Amino acid sequence: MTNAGIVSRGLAALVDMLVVLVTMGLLYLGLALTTLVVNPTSFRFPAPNLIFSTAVTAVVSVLYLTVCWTLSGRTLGAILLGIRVVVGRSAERLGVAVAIVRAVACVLFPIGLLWVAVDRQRRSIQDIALGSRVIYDRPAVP
Amino acid sequence: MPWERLPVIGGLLYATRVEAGRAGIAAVTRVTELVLDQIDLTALVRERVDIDAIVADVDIDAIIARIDLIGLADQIIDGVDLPAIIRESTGTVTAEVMTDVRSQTARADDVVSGFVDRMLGRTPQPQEPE
Repeated sequence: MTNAGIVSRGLAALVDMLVVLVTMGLLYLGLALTTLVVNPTSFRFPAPNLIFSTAVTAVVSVLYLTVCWTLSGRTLGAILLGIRVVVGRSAERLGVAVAIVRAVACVLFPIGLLWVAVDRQRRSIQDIALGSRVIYDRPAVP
Repeated sequence: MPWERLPVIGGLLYATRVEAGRAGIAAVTRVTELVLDQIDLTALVRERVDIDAIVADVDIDAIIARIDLIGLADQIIDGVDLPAIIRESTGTVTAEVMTDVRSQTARADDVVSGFVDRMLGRTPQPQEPE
């Protein structure tokens, strides 16, 4: 099992960002529709303030990453790029606690991913801190 | 026949007539069969009959009108499992594209690693396979 490099992981991260953005868009649409249903006469598109929307985005991202990593070790981006987040030499799935900490660290300090390009074992700052790694995970070519 | 009503020989004459008629028909049938066997009817028709003229007179539209085209098409479509064909081909294409994207990015990973190794003056180290 080889550790995945910066290109695979960066692209996977981009796809995951897109997933979170789409989710946020859907949440906003839901909020607007709810407002419309509750108070149709004085309807205006909701304008949540920056801190609130940033906080919600962060929470959604952490939830998404934690759930995906705990359940299968793969987010949507990871599935597309054929990579998987594991922990230790035996490549086990992340525990809930480790997954939450890793997700928070990745959301608050995304720049840590860049260390993958420099590190000899292709680990991000988060990987070094938590002992996790990202491996290529694809079905064997027949 | 009047002489068949004669006493004594009447019955015999009747039986002879019936038998002769039967034998005659059998003989004529046999001869006709032999003649027909000798003639190549297909070649004869080809030679003597203007098939093109006959076909030109055939009202094909009327024939087509008698065929239940929609029913026929339904039968053909029922026989072809189109959804399965579409599923199979798109599935194969998607799988091929995904495999391609993955191997390309993995190669890009190696290129970046090699580049960084050279920049930092490290000896390129192959990723440990387990």
